[in-house]
Amino acid sequence: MPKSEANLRKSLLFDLAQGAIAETLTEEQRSELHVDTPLREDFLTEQLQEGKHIILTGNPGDGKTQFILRQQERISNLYTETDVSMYSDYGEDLLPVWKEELETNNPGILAINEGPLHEIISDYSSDFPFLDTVSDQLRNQIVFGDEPDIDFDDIVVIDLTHQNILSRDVITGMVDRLTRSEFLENHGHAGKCHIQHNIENLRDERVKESIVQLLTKLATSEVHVNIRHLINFLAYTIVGDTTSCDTEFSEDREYYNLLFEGQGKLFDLFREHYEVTQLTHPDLDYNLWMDVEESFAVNESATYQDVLEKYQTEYRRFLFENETFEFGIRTGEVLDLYQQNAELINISNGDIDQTAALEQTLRRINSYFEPNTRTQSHLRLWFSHRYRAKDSQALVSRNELTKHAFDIETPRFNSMLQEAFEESYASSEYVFAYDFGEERVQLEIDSGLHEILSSLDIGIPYILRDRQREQQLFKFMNKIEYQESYSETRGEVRVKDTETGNTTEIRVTGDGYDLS
Amino acid sequence: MDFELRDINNRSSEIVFGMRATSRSIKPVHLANHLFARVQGKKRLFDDEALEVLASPSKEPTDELDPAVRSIFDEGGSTSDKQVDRVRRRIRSVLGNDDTLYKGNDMIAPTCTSDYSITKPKLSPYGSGEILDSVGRFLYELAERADSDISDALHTQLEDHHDGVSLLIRPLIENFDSRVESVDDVRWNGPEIDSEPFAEDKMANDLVDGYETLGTHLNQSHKGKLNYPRDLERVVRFGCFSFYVFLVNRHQEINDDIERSAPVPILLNYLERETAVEEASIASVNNAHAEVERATRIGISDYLERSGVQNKDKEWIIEQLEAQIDDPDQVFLDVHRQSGGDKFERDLNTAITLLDSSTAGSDYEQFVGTLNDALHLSQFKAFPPRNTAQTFGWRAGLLRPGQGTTERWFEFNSEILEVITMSIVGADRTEMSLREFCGELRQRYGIIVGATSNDRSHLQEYGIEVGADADRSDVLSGENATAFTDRLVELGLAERYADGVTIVSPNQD
Repeated sequence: MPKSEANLRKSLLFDLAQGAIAETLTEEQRSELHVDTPLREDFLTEQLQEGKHIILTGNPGDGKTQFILRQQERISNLYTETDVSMYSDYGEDLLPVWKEELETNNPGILAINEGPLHEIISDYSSDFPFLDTVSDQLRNQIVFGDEPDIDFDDIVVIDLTHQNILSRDVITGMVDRLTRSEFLENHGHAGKCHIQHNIENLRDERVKESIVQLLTKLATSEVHVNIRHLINFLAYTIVGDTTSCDTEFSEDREYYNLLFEGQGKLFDLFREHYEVTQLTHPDLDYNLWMDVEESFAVNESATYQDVLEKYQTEYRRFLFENETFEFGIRTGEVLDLYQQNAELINISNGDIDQTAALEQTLRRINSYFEPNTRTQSHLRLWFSHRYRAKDSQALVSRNELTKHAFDIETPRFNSMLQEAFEESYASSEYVFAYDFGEERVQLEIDSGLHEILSSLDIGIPYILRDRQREQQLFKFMNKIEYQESYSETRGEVRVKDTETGNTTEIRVTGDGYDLS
Repeated sequence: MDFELRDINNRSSEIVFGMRATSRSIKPVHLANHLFARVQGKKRLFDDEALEVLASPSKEPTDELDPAVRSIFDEGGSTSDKQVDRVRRRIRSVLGNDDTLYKGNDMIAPTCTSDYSITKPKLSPYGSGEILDSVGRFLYELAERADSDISDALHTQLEDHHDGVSLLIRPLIENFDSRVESVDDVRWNGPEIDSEPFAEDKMANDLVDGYETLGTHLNQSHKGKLNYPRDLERVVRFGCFSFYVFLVNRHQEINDDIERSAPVPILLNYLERETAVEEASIASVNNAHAEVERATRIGISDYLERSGVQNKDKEWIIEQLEAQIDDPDQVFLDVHRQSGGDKFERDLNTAITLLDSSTAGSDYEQFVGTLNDALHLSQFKAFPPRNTAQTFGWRAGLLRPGQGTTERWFEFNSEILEVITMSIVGADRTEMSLREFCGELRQRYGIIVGATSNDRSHLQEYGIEVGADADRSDVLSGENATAFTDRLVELGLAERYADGVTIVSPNQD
């Protein structure tokens, strides 16, 4: 049997669809399936050649083991740790050896999942000071504004949860690997099975392009997706939940249905964003519904449920094969119309002008507390103070600060990671910061907070606010108040009744109230 | 020889708790006021004129205000009563954040962000003033014993008047701040029955440590100013927790007959639906409050011993009570009813019935039990420490009431959870594993969420079992521990990683 054929049997597809992991694959299989991820292997090689220790951390399935196994082939005398979970006592088994390897300047590469790594730091940094460097780098993988002074001399920590697997190159690379001709051959049955059918469809450039478009849009969703999720997602899309070929397959085994049916993080994300109930386009919805209804017109026994199911299937097929429909609508248009949080994504990735981003943020925060205001030149500071457990009856504000005191910071990799990864950091959050010289006070605006800030704009009454999220705003504003000095005797105080949402202005003149 | 029920209540509380934990109206902001007065060594007392301004315009109409009082609203020119009404209502709504403005309260202690808080001078012997004085001393003692700059940080913050609330009541301070009284006698004398309340194995010692760790999170003065009232909230919230958990643990600390190795369990329930954890949490609430009652009983016994009643037999006591019914001037047990009335007779007869039906222990022990039962019967309108713990625990955000039921379970609100986390993980320590954190919660404070292997045995030590749910296995260490962790993560106090690892790290804001 030819080598490639031996490696890429269809049973491998079955295994991958069930979530097979790197350790269970042969070296040749790993090599055949390898796709360049954003982490540059030549960067790792350079760092190791300089005698540094690389700590690859992240979640299971991020590709840590894969990287180590590949590096091991290239560098001799490499100190490696591929599975620290085998150690019962880090302080006795792992850390003394690691320390010694560091002291002898022997290059090393260690794969440690995030959880255990934090535990090691938490429990042993007082006995093994080099863990402070690890901790420092771990906290500063993503930086905002000026980069703090980080020590990269002996150790480089790379958290693979920050790499964007849902990039065009990785997705197309992986689709190409999983639809190779070898997977089509030697099936040992007559006719065409669902695997061959789906592989042929996924090799179609238009279908592939739709998959890329849909998956890349999910990159900023705040849910971490790793290479294992992607492989599992695509393999399942070809195979489904079976371990045999089905030559008389129904529509259920079509790739566009399987994409919505699997179990796992990426499937959940895909459904959450693209299921027929989530994604809407008025023209598409109308045309598709009319077509489906018409197709049932002559079938008197069809129920409403039948129509709905057909509509769902046609909608799914449309996402990938829209050129076969004659609506003149393309997947990209549907996505553009749909995209939520576009403003957040644009600000987070530096796609809009800083001043405009700052003004939009100021307006959103101001209008959260005072829905009718469009002020974007100042930020009004509010706070809620109480000792009891119940909610506040009133919020108080006495000041506003000019926009010049604030700026927007978008996240980016630290300088070392910027070299390590092929691409920039893909973000769906940014920092709204107040600068007072020596220090900065920051408010992290992610999709949750952004949604809250936008909610009053669409008419949701203040009384229904999310108190948990609101606390983030108060903490930020309170900290700013703490940094500023105001008159103790004179000023304007605004009081907002939390039940009615009404605000009253009261001017204080030291020993009296000016109500004129 | 005569006994006053109200006196028994207060004295027994002082004997075992070192303070009068006997108020139905005690609120977190009162604790704040009394703690802060000790930190500063002074308190502000207001005359009725200022209180008129703060009264509801419907009760104290603006057009009936003293002209001098009314004039503070005319700084910018003549104003209408309607305008003044609106402003008074708004000021009330700010002060109402702490719900202390209702009629009949001895103290008005509005939301305070600085020492611009308003205190009414009227203090009755059994009123909340004296009660709170003793609680304030206790909290101050904890903060003072902590090896930290916590008092300095509070002091600096209290002297800062830049925030909106302070500015809003500034005119009241300027015009009616008639007396600033010094508060010199600030230290806590401790419980009379216990010479070492801060011994290493006692709750007060852990609370001092907690304050010390919390102190590392407090902000330092910036350019000579602080203006960070959130720190005041944090200190007071930990004080609320301290007050409650101290009451709850007194009994097992002072009762020589029991040997327990762990604090009274506080089983937190974070599940929304009815489960075995909710049931067990309710049981742990009931147990905690029963512990407060048991401690009170020890206090009553000690008090009666000092009164020389221990050698009297049951018949003699019943005779005294009956004689009092016949002749109200022969006072044996003062139940605070109008002499000779129906209720007066009913109260004394209830006491006789309670004593008559008692069988356990000596005659003296039966009399102690009778008085203890009387204190805890609503009929006698006493407000024993058990009731204080019940109502205060709810007001402070430690207890959550069930739907349509009087039962409550332990569920700390987010503010309490934040300060307790800060009392365990200091600002100088960036991370602590959830496993270690939950171990500390349990060992220091008795807080159980289901995340440590000793949780069940700890609960069993106090006779609390977590039953099985029909459709789920081990809801305590499964769903409940996860729900608790979720809450920490939502609050930004922890981060969850793969491999089931969660790291606790209080928000360093």
